[in-house]
Amino acid sequence: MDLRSLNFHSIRAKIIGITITAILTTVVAIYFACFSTVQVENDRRAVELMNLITADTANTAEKYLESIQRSVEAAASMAGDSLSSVTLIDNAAAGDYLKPKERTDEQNAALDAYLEKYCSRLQESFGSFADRTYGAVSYFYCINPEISDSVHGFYYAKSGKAGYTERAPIDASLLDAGDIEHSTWYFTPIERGRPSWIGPYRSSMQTDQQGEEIWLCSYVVPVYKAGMLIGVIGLDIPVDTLISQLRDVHVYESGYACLLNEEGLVIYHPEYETGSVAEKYETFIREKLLQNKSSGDDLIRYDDGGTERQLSYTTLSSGMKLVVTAPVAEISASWRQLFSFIVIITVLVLMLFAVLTFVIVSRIMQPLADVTEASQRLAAGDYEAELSYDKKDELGVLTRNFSRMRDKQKEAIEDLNRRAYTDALTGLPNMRHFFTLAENEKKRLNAEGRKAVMLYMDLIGMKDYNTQFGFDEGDRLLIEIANMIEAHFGYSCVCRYGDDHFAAVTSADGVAGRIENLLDACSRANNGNSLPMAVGIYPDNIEDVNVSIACDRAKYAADANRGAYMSGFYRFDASMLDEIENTRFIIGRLDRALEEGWIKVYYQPIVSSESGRICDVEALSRWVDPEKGFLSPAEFIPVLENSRLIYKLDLYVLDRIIENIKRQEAAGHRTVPHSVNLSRSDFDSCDIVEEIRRRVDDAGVSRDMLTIEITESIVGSDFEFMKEQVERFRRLGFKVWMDDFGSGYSSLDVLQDIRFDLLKFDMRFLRRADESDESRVILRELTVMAGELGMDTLCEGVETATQAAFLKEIGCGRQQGYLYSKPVPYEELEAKIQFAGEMEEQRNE
Amino acid sequence: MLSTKIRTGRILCLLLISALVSVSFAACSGQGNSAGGKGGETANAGSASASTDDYIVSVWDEPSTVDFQCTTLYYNTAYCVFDRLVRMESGHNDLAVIRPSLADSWEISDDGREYTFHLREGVRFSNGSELTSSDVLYTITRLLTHPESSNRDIAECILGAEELENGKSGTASGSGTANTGTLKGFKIIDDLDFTITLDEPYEAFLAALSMPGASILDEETTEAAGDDFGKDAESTIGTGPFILKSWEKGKGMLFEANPECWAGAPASAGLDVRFVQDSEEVRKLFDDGKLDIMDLSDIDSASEYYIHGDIYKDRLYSAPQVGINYIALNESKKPLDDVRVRKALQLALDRTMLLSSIYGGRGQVENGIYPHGLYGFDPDLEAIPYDIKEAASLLSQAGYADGFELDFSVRTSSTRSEMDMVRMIADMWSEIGVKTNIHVLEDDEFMELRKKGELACYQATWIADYNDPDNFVYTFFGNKANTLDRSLCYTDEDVMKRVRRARTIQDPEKRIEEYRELERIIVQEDCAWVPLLSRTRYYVVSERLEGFHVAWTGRYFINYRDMSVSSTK
Repeated sequence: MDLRSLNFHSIRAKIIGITITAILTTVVAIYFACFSTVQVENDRRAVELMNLITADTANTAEKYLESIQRSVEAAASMAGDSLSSVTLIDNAAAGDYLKPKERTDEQNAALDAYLEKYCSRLQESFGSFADRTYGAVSYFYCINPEISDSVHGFYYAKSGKAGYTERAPIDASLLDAGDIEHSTWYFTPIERGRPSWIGPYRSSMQTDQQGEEIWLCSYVVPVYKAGMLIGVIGLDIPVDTLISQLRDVHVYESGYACLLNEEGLVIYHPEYETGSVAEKYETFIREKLLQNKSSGDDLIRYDDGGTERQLSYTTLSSGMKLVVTAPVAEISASWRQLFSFIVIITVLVLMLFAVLTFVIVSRIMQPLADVTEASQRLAAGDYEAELSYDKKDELGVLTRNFSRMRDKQKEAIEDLNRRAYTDALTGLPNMRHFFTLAENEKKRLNAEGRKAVMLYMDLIGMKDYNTQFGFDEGDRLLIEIANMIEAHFGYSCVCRYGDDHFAAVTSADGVAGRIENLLDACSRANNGNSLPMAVGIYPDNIEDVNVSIACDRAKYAADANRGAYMSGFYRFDASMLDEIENTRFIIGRLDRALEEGWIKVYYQPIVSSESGRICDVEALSRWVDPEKGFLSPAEFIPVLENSRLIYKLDLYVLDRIIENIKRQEAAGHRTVPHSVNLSRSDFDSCDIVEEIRRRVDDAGVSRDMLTIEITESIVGSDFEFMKEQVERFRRLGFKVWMDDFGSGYSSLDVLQDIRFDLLKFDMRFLRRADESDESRVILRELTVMAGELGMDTLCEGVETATQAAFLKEIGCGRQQGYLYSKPVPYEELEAKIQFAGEMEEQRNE
Repeated sequence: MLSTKIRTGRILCLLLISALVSVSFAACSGQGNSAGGKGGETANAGSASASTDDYIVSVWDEPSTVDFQCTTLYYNTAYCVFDRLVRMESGHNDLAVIRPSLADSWEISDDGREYTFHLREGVRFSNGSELTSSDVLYTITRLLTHPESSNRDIAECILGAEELENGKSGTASGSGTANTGTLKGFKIIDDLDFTITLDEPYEAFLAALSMPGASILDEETTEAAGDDFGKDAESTIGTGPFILKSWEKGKGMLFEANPECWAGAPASAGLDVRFVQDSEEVRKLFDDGKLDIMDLSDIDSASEYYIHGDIYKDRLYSAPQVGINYIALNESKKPLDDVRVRKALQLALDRTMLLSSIYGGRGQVENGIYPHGLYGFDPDLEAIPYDIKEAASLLSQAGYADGFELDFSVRTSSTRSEMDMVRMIADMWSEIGVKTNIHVLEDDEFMELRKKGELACYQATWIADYNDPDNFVYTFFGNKANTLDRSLCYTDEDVMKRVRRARTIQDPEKRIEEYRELERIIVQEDCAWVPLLSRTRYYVVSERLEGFHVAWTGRYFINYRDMSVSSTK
């Protein structure tokens, strides 16, 4: 048997279970229905049958008893009729209740003579009746001793086959009423006053061959005449004869018929002696049989010493009770057998059914089992299970559809895998997949005792290339480069990191040579229409980090030379690690620095060239870290700009400025406009224009007290956007200065399109002006130009009086620099600003 | 291969299922059968019990009619179905007394001629119609005018009865028409009250009104039934405790309790009366417990079996029968016209022997007309001796020394005891040379001959209808018609006149004295009738019967209303 069949959760098991349960339920229901029906029916039939037997037996018995009764009654009738009451009365044998008197001798003699004749006549007639009565063994007439002392009647008994012979008549006066057994035949009918069946009793007159008194039943009739008991007349039947037919009555197997007399004494019972009290039945007989009911044709059952018996009885007209009884077990045997057959058949059918169902269902369910198995294998990632069932039934459809679904899923998963692990364009492993591959490769190399290096390759100028040649061409280039990289390091050691970035892991040995070969090859890629490539190298001997970090560091190294439009490769070194460390430190500590006030806002005064008085202050941040000490803005501002966190700092500075202005105004101090520097990323981080307006307005500070400084490079980075922002500031009433004018590649076009309030010349102009006339010319001309464009001018980095004088001379409106003051806390400037004091020139010593 | 297997599997399934289904059907149908069978049985049993299981079962002689105006027999039905204005009940000292029945009360005028009756209110016949004075008038008119009436003497004493009888006072037809104008002595006061005026005072009038012949009939029903009245159950409508529901000729009658009976519903549900002739069959019925009351007179010598011994002693009832066995001698037949012959016949009978040998001495030897137990019975009446010598001598004097032949008529319905008695009488008379020819006649023929005064000699019993000597002496010697009716053909007009006059004597003592004198004259001087004996009656009842008691007459059927059968036995 298939082990799967033992799975009770399987549909097969359920079907078998349901089927068997259904059959079992039906069969049990039918069984009980049949059981009760048949039981009721059987009981009814048993009662009917037993009643029938009883009735039949009783009928036979009754007929026989009646024949005896008829004989005796005829004789009795004759005894009455043939007796002259006149003679009796005349001889004072009767009627003495009217005239009690002693009988005379003559009367006695006459009476006796009369009675002798009377008895003799009667005997003859009775004898002929008795002859015709089957089974009779004796007949008698016993004269009441009160009628006559000497005439006792007659007694005739059969001896052998010779017929009846005369015996000495019984003198009733000698009978002892206490000797029930022997005298009941005489006294009982008299007591009852009417014809009676007597017996069973034993009579000394009737013995068997062994001389044993035999059991008799007698029908005895009292004879009355003139209201007087004349005697009793009767016929004796041996019990054996009486019940001869009863012996042959067989009910079921061991059932029998028995006969009890009116008082319940046994006349015949297979288990009890005649004349005894059937003890076992006694209570029962008293309760049931001897009650007034003459027959029991209902279902009567009783406990017969442990066996239940069923009984039917009837009372014969003789008063005798005919009882037919049989064990209930025998009565029920046939249908019990029937039911055991049914049970056996049921069990067999059920077993057959179970097997058949199992086989059939197994057959039907096999394809389903196959599909189930296939699905289990599928779940385990195995797509190969064979599914061959191809019938047109539901399971066939299911199988085919499952097959198809599985195949599709297989394809989809394979595709997904490909997508997940490889780059769609170049077919190289993608970054995530690469990390796994690289880790394996690294381990492999390490296991071989070799060092691994991580390479990060970055095509330079891909964006422009795409712009110039189109994406198709760019893609083609990428594919070719990818193929070259793969060719150099092997498929499982490379990846397309993203865009135009690739990574590879390789042995540290001879890595430089391989990179050079690669760069050389790449320069010839796409028929020479290629791009230079920066390669960063991170050897794991610097610090053994996981491949993703290694990759990042290699990238860092590659990026280190950003901006150079040429191929080359760069090793990651310890300084880079510091930079990374520094950057992480600044970024990680910014929030705390702002909260703790480690970053402070210093102010550098801007002095009017004309008056030498402070006309503005530029807010600058100073970070004095409790751990690292003074951090240069040149150190942390680029980091914050790169990480786009600069807005936090700028807004912080802005808030401090606003506070300061408010405080000054609140104190009634004169103050000057404060300028703040914005970074490009401030514009991306939020709507900085609106943000500043809100904070300024909320603080109730006049907008013209705040000046916005934007570097030339910021404006250049996204011209249209910045133009819009600058105009928004100006429209709101903020002054906007262009910072570091002339430090980058800015074009004068900017000035043509965007209106600034002031140009702030980069300090390099002034430095160069010290050295060359050209620079001085340019500075002068720029000042003139600005003036003509309606913009004020400011030059920063003023360190010497010469420079200050020069600027004044060329008409540069404002100056800023150490000549006047380095950035300081506002408190140090407060007084000068309040009282509009000239700034003293500070000598650089 | 697989599909084949499945198919065979399916077929197998179908076979099994169909097998199971058929088994279950078989089971169901089996159950259905048995249930149906049982239902049938129960239904039968139910209907059986609904009919007569709780009825009292009796054996009666089948009445030829239940119109009691026209019969003096079969009184059972009269007492079950009908009521009379008054009834008689055993009182103190074994004297029966008059009690109200349909008449709630009455007044008798001082001159003893005017009886004013007040009917009980709200009495209804079993057909629902109310009893009124006019029903009573109708009843009495019919009693007097019905050609078959055999109880006229009850009402003949009423003023104007004779004229009515003779058709002088109206156009009364055979079936009798109620015409208030025709019976002078009957005055309706209102629905419930009426006055009856008698010709002359009649002391036994109330007693006579208690007779079955005076049963009050429903005018409407009786009139509608016409000549069929008394012949079927439908027209037998009375006010009594039972309603005759069915009368199956030759088989029996069913009486249903009348729940609306004015005197209250009877104790039993009804009576199941069987007409059984054969005494053996009666006995068997009783022995089988299928008969509730057995009159031992019905079973002849087998009655000894119930009287002796102790089996029936608790269920055996006995009572002296207030009735007399007598021999009627027809004075119009020779040689019975000779008083010496009649005297000889009286003396030749050993009546003690008759009582002893036929009835085992259970009864009394009677010497007059009024039996033991009857109001007016004369304990001092001289006994008629048993004297053959004197008898023989008387016969010789009369010129019949060698005897003569005498026709002795016997009804076929006579009991064995009666037959035995007749035989024994014949034996006794043979002692003085009288040769008795016993003629057994059919009842109807017997009655016909008797009424014509044709029977020379017969033996019969007269049981008291009411407790008054009048009921006896008037019946037999009240007038010519009565003696003729009894085939007595008594001749002494003077005596008969005195019998009639005795009725009017208001002083009870004097009246009884006169009756006793008349009795002596008739029996001892005129030897007009041969008194024999009065019997003790015996009844055995079933174990289930309750409330049985014997009435003052020694009969029981007056008391059916008090009896019932207990359902438990």
